[in-house]
Amino acid sequence: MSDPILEFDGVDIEYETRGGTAVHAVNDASFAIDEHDYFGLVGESGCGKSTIADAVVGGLDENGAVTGGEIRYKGTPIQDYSEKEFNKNIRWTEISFIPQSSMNSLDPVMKLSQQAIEMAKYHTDMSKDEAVERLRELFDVVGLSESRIHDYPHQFSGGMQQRAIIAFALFLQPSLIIADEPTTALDVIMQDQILDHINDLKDDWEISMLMITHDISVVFENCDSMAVMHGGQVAEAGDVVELFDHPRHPYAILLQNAFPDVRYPDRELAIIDGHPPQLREKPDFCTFADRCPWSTQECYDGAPDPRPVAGDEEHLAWCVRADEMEELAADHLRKPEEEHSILEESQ
Amino acid sequence: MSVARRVRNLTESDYAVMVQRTMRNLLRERITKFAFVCLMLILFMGLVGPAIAPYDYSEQQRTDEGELNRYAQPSLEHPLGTNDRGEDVLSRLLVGAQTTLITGMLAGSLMLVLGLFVGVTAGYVGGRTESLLMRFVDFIYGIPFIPFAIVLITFFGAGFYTTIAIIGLVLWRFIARVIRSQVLQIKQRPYIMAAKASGASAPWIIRKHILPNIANMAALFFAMGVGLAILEQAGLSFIGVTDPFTPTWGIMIRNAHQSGRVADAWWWSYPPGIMIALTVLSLYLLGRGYEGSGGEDEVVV
Amino acid sequence: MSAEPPVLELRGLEKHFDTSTGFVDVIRDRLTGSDPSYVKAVDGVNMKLRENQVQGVIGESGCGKTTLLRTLIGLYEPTGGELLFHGQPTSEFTSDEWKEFRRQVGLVFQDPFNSLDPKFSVRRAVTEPLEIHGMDYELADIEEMLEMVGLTPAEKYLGRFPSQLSGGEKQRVAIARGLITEPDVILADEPASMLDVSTQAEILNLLNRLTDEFGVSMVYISHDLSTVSYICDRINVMYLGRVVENAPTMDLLSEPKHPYTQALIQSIPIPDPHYDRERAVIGGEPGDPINMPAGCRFKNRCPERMEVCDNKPADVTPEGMTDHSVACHLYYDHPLDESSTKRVEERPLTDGGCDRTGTLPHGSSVVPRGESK
Repeated sequence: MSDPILEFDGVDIEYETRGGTAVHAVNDASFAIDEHDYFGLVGESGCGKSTIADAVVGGLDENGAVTGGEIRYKGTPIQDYSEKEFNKNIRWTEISFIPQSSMNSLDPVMKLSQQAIEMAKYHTDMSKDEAVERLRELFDVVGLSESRIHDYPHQFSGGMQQRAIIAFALFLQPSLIIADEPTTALDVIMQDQILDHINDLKDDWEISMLMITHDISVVFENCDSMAVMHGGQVAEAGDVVELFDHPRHPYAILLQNAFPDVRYPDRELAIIDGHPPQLREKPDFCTFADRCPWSTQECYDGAPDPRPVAGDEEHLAWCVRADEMEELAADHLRKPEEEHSILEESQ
Repeated sequence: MSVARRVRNLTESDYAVMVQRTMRNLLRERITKFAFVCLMLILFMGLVGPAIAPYDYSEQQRTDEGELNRYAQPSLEHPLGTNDRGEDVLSRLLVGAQTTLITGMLAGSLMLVLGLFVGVTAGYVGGRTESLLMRFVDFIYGIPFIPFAIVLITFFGAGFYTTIAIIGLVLWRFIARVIRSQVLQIKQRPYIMAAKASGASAPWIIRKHILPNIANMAALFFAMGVGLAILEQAGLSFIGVTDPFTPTWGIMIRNAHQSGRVADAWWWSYPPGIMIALTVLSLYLLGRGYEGSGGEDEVVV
Repeated sequence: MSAEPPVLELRGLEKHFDTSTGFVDVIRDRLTGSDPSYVKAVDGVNMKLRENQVQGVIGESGCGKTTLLRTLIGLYEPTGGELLFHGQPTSEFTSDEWKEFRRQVGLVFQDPFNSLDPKFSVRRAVTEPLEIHGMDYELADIEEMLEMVGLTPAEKYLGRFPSQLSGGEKQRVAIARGLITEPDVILADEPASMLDVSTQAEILNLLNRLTDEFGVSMVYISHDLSTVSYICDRINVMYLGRVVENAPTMDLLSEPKHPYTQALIQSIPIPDPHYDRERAVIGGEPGDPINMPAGCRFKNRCPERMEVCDNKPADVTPEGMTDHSVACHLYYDHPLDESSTKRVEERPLTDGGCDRTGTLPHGSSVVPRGESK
């Protein structure tokens, strides 16, 4: 079993708002990403997933801070690193970050080759030619034409810019890439291509990835392990296939069925009532309890502890009724194997 | 409908809620609160100034001996002393509050009306009308204000209202530009399209959708316009092209300067300057408060 | 087939935009003798919307669906073709008839952030269409509508402003506003912005229910085939201004005929780690809508491109099918000689992206370079 390259151990992250109140964006989050693993972090807006991504590379806004727990990268706690330490030790060389709408991350007045040279100059002692050469290789990897490395960002289309960003993320050969909604702004065909390239990286480059998204389909198709978040808490975490076959947290169960599946266009979508709580205080209860069809008084008696599912230590559910879920949610768990996938007819 | 019901309707109506919210947002910071209080005091002074002034502003005070009481130091009788003609400075200041504020508000209103009209029309109608109007604004921008004002005054005389008109008719230009770009942005919003799709006419949309959404900015510009007008009027007064008989604060500064006793008759030369500075500062601070409160209350996730 | 004309009919609808921006361009065009370039945003769309039917229009960004929507609500005037409402062409509408049209066609944006005027309370937002048309109403009617879209208790919502509502609640208000005049047709425009999936599910179910209860027809425009399949009876696939395929939902998903539709379907991520999806084979992105190639607009990305594709394809019904039309040369006979259906070996792509080969779902394979069929 390879060691985790990134570990979150009971991490709390808070934001101070104007007026002095705090927002407890992340509470007691724990999960681990193994080496050479693709890990998907899924959740709806406001659940804290982007905050987690920002925290890993020290990118939290000024009013945000990790107030509890540890974030360990290759065994070393990094949550208290200073800006300088992050720049020297982590950013781009060890962990690359691809933010949302990252087409806007490219400097519009610099040629792409120029940006690569700057990057190389700051972090390494590569010569200019070596930097340009490496950019060429990377463009090839992401499927961009090598002749275009001297273009300006605005000469690229959205999809191409996204691929250029990925090339830059790989530039200094990091061990971990964090991608925050890498394909949301793109059309579906382009999205598919980019995800394909990202998948190829896994085989060719021995890289780990943390992918943040709201689209569970992307995680199911491209990731090895995953975690589902709700209202600042991790609801369930584990191997992707395990989580798909045997979800135990009510939110994970309902979330899977809330996504339209183009193979079964007539299937009723699951409804999740209400919305996540405001998180003005550290939640001392399960943040999904108000929306959960199976919640009991116990759910409000303290934040739930992780329980292994079916004895599997790698698959954890943060729910006091996790063991009962198989029966309680039987309707939702029934897999539509008997239903005929509409796509198969064409094969 | 009874009066009580009408009042309740009004206070519960959308507009009331909006105004309340804006005020609350605006006054969140301490410094804006301070500016607001200052402004209210000055406005109050403008309202009741002439009524509470202890003496007539052009009455030349005489001492018990019958001499003209000139350059008198501040005393109980004359808290701000007297000027070179023996007139009570405090009374002039109080009356000046009214005249100065009237200048500011009238000129500011003129600026706002012209700026809004040109800005909204150009922004909403677009096309050639917009080009034409904006070229006109460019032209007005090219006018150097003070020299132009001097020229106009030569023709029309240096009356109180003439000055106001000149200020208003030239300085509306900055409002038009910014309002136009705001309107351009608002025009693109889906709710405008929804209104059009529902069959709303252009006047309806402008009246109900565009104007309320630029109201905050318009109010800000009005405040800035008043401040600007007061400053410009002081400037024009200083160079002597305004009506010398109306005791505005600007005129008081000019007279003090003319007398050559700015330094030693400080009770006369400082107060009007301080009042102008305070007024304009409060207005601009309120404007800054508007910006700080986040301008529009549109939700971003 | 009923004798009633369809509620909404598009016949060869066109909306072209002139890209010349003023004096200099006009003069330059005159001098150089070149034609002014147009963006043919909507270029010959045919559609028939019947009563109680929900039709989807799907396409990537730049395909023209937003322009189509705006033309349908009358914001743009068509530059060609006809738009008929209950059999009457809108080009002949008087301004009264236009107003009536606007009353009968409701618009629902699902963009929760900007579709409601932030200065309008819920009550004013919902009653605005009624006010515009001078329709009488009682507060009870408004409350009923709010409850019907799931905003209960209605009294609590009347005085609220958009900044006090969640994304889902704002959408419901937008839907209430769209339905308040009891229209015949609803046009729904799904945005590109991220919407929580749980909200999305609720809203989709709501729309489904309301279209049944109210008996309205709906045109649903989106880029997301999964949601469109959930809610629409029939789907139109748009590409660079043209409808390339049009069929009932089930038929389209199970037997897509146009290579673009096939690629779209293949690109959709499936929420199932066990399913081994075959990836789409096409590359590149939709081309520049200003300088569109003559003939089939998809030819530069099409894995099945033939020489004849330099001519504009006709809308045909593939053999053995009814009620399914495709605009593709693959599906009809060409009276020209053999060479016109010869595979084109060179496939210039528009963005310098990579070239890929693979297997298409209906069994035929793309010819690798150097070989002939």
